[in-house]
Amino acid sequence: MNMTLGRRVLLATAAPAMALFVALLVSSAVLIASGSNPLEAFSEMVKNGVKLEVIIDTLNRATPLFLSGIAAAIGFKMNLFNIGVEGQYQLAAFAAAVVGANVVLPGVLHVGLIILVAMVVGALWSGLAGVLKTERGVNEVIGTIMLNYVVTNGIIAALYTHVIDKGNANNAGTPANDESGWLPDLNGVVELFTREIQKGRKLTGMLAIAIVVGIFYHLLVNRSRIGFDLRASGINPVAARAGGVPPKRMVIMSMLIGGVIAGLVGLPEIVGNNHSYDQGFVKGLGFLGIGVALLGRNKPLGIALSALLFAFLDSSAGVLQFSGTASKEIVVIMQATILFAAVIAYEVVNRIRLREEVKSASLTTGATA
Amino acid sequence: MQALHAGRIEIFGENIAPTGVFGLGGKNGMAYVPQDRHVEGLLLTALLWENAALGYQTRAPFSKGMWIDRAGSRTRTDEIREAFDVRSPNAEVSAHALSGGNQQKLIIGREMTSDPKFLIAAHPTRGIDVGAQSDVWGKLRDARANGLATMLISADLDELIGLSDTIMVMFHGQLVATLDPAEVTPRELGKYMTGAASMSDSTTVPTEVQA
Amino acid sequence: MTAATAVTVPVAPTPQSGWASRPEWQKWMAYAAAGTLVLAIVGQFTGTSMLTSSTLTSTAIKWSIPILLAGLGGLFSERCGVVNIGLEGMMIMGTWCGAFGAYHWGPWAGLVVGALGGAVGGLLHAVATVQFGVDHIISGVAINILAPGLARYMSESIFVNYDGGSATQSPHVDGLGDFTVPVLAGGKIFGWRSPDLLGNIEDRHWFLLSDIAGIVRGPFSQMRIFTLLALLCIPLTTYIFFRTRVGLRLRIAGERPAAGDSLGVDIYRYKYLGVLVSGALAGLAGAFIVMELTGLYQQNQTAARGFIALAALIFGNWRARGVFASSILFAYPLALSLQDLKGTSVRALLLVIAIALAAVVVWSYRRPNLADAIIAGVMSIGCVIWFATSETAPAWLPNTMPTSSCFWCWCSLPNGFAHRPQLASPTDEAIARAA
Repeated sequence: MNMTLGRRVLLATAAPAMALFVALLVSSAVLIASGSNPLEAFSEMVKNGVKLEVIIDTLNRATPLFLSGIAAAIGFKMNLFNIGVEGQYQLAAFAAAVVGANVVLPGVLHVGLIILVAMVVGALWSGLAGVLKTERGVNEVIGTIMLNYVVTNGIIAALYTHVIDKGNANNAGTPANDESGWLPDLNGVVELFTREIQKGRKLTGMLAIAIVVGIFYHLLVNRSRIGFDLRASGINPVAARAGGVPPKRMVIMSMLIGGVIAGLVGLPEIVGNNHSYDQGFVKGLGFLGIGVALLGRNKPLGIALSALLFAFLDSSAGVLQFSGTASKEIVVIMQATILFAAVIAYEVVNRIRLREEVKSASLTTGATA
Repeated sequence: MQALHAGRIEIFGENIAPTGVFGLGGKNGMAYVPQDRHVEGLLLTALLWENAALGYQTRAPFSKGMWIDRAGSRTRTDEIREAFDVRSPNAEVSAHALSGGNQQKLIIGREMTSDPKFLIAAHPTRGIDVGAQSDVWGKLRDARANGLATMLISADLDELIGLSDTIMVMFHGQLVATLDPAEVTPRELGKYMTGAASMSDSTTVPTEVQA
Repeated sequence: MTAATAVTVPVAPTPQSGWASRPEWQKWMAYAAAGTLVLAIVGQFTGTSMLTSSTLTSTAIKWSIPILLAGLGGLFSERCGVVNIGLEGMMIMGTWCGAFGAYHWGPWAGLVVGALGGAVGGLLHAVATVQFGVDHIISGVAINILAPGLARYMSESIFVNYDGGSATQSPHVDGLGDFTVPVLAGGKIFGWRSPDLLGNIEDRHWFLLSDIAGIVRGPFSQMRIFTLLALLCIPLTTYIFFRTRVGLRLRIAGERPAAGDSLGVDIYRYKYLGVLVSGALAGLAGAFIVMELTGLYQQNQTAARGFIALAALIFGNWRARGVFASSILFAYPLALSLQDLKGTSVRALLLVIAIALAAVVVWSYRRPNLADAIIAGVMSIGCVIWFATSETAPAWLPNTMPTSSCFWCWCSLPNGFAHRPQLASPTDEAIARAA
């Protein structure tokens, strides 16, 4: 009487499918209420979404979301609610931009240094929250919220005026990096399989790094001894400690690893698009990343899929506006509804799964139970 | 767990007082069956093989170098399930799904299969069904017969008298009696445990050492 | 360090024998007196009267209200055992709904509709956490992502059509109005302009006396009606929790759910109630921002105040008056920077922070915790050096410095940031009475 494979797959996919369905339902209702035709809007999104340029756009948007999701998920795996990715990636990107603009190095070394600086700064800022937790008992949610606040309103605001490019009036940001500090785009790789990419779209080189990070995350969490210790400590710190896993070291370690990856989140801007940190630097990726991690159940493939879903919705926003079928903000509602419906659906499915497991286990036990 | 106020705890010549039993999981041939399996013994939402590896994840067959050996862990878990009669469909269900007795048998199997030299079993049959209880007792007797030094901590007087070679009673942190289970009656044992029947409210930790 | 500590010695309320046993109102008075004295001395020393001016206190109170209301919201939720990290989102719902209500039906409707908007967010949170058992943090984060999207969508479909509205903002809306207390602060009685007693004293620039007059006059001049209502929520919250049966049951739902359940208290119902009230208060905070601070709805205008409110709740030790004190602490420097555009008075704040840190040095040294004493000492000296070497303070300082220095101070408390409040659980008899 084992749970059949089919039933397992059904349970695993039921929640996201349910969430997607609820989200479509809710957004249809909202669209109808505001006088748009939902079917027209959805078909417009799908029609637009299969264009090569839009796919590139989706991948570009998905890359930082995925990285941010992975950074948050490492904490979640250990039951640490690291809300601090937001501050970590902004500080890291800022530091990377400043270092990148002020250092002269040949090609690979320059990019490498920028990436390294971002990872180290992210790790240090995240590690600070970890140290506060282990040494002072500061709850990580409060600690990281406060540290986010310190980054955006304090450190960056304080240093900003000292590092901006004063010669450049229309871009009040850090000076742009030299070309040696740019990461090559992946257009060439894509064009091997498809037609030429038009409209000046460039597939960010960070995608390759993101894929490496995804594989690293999978190996770390599911295959390595450190990952075993992390998960054990997250599920039951007391039992893990009895099993020789020091809880404090695990907290620091997961915060550090999460911080390293959080440091990469803002890099597509620094080594790709703008090559600098300016007033309009993208914000909110940290919080969206938490959503992506939750939707993806902290699994690498799940995070990738939900990052792609969120990115697809983002990149279809424009076409809705452009074609006049619906307001582009409907996609934000869809994202949020999917997320909300998903966390509830996961909880419901989880209960069903547990109940079934107990049932199947007690059937095995037979009469002794 | 209480903090140590004075003295040393020595096992095989090494002072373990600074870390206590925690932090020693699987090391130096020490094995520990905790008194509250849900709090100290199990990762309830993790799978059976992961629970079987807990505390022994640094060594074969559970890991190779820095990687977890999933195939090895599963094989070992199946061996434990077989030998200790842990009733479950496979090693891929979560520990949550098992009955209390089967959870306890899994823990005892985990602690006994990695060649321990010294076993601490704290209330090993608390809150489990009769069938599992006799299984656990059988395993403890077998272990003793195979020469495993076992410290059984229990409040079940019949369990203590039935399994022990020597019974040592502690009261308020002091050793108050060393008894021979062949002669002592539960009533007598109870008197020592409660401080010669004068202070009946106090919490007692009767201890038995079997060499 | 010596300079800073020398100033501190007379003012720091150092724990003496018997201090701990004093009634709480006496301690609060002592803290307030010490704070006023520090501000007066620093004001005298740096030659600015702005630190204790009545306009500043009035502004500080006004800006503290959103944090206070949202913090009280957090209090309601946490007292009944649900962590509410979605305050920010509920506040955003409150801003939009508040603007909508106030635009259509006037300011009182704005207040009600804003509270309702926040309560809808609270309902979502309650359904997810209480009904379905979703993790509190996860649900809160989801609400924080949902709310701004919803507000943006609704602005784009509704506010765009209004005269003066756009996708990111609403037309202007009115507040509830204000009043000035006669005699004390010079308000009018039937058109007759009464004398301004406190204002007169304040204008004399007498040391300490004028400072006290300034601080006291603040709340009495141009008091917003909405502000007054919010301030009334402080005693009301305490009263509800500790004097009424509903409050007791809310606390039972948070602290002793199993015991309450066995005696017939409907735990689910009270958790729902607590989270709903929490959302409504956060919504009120949003409505306050719209109606009293900015006069219109703007995108992103809550500016992470929901999170600050959470911090204020913890700094305030999960008590209504504590939340008020810490929200003033957060709002004061901001108000100062709004009043003082040149940054000269904000610079004086550096000295205040240095003195506060020096108090931490003394306190840590006595505990004894040498490491903390050294850290606080170094920071204190740093502030003094910074003060001595600068003419004006940068604009980012008032935003961050108090927040982060409070944060570091509280970090040095033993167990100062534990996740759950150190609350006195309702006793068995109390539970039996409530049931």
